[in-house]
Amino acid sequence: MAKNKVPDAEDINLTPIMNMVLVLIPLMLLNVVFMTITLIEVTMPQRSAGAAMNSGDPPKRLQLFISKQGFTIVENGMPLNAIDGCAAGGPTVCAPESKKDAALETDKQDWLSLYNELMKIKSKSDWATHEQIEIVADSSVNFGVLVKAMDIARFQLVPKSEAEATKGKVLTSEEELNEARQVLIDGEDNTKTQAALFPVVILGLPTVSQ
Amino acid sequence: MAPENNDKQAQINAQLVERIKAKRKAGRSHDAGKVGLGLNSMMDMMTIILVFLLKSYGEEPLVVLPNTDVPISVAEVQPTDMTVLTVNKEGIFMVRQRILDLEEGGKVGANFKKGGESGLIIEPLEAELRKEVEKLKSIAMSSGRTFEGDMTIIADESVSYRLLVEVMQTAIGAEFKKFRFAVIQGSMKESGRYSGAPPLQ
Repeated sequence: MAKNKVPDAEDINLTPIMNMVLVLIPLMLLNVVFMTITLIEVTMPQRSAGAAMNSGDPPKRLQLFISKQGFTIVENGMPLNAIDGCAAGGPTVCAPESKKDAALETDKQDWLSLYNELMKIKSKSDWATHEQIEIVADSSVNFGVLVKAMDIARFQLVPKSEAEATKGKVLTSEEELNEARQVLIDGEDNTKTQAALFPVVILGLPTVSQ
Repeated sequence: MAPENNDKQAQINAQLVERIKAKRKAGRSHDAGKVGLGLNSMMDMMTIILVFLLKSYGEEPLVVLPNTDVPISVAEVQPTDMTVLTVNKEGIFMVRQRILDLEEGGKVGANFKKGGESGLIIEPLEAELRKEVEKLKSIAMSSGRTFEGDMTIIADESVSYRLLVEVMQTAIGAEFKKFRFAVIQGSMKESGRYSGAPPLQ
């Protein structure tokens, strides 16, 4: 009996803490964005650095001009001819008529042909080790289009159905591009790295909108 | 004999029941008489959620301001702590501080730019960035590192290339060298779009 009479330690009153926690949790749940933010690294040439490297062979230059009409790929100063289905003298890869009414600027472009054209350049022997691409866009081209252009131009892709990731694949349909994943190759220290297309992006000054 | 036995059995049963009840009471807290809601497990859960949320809240080095539709990309580089500029439909912000309001159509007013309409340097932004660079340089000096000139740009999907270049050129003028665009990680299909964009046709 005596044992039972030892007074219990007073319990801490948890009600205020509970109240606070109940308020804090919805508040933070509202704030938390369940999205992962990642970064794309780009460079922009310093204004004075232009004419510094004039010795030796002229550097190889691969340029991609983006406009509302499409993409023009320029290899060492020579614009590539328009692909089949695009007007000669126009952009290399033109924005298709069928997508003219898409709500987003990003959806109006022919990304599949752009990827395949870049892949063709990459598979030529003298461009195989080239990593830089200069992206120059019209003043009015928006950021979403630029981001997608960089996604397309930076790394090689394989269709989802391919079990073995092989380099240098040409994609055949838009669905294949949409479902594609990046090619992973063996890098240093047994880690997998992405197979590069043209991973180093240099942004140029905007061209005047047409 | 038989009914007497039954009575005894009943008494023993009653005593047993009493004892079990008493034991149960002793096992509970002092107010065992009341039937309370078992809040312990909920409290445990809440504490765990709170810790988890606090952690993810404090970890995020990049704060995306409201009204900024950051496009989706397949990029995988993780964000680090550095100077962050936000460019959205309304204006240019450094972290949360509004530096400049944009005109209709997402343009910087000609009177804010060096050289008027065709200028590439945004003057109010340049002044702010120079102040920031000075601060960063003195921090770097005192901690024995060198000032790298890294900048992260969080831009809205609709920001024009012209404005983006103007911001970057201004930053280059203020001694920033490396630029990174913040994007939201996603699949190739969503690339270039933003969450909440109209569906693909």
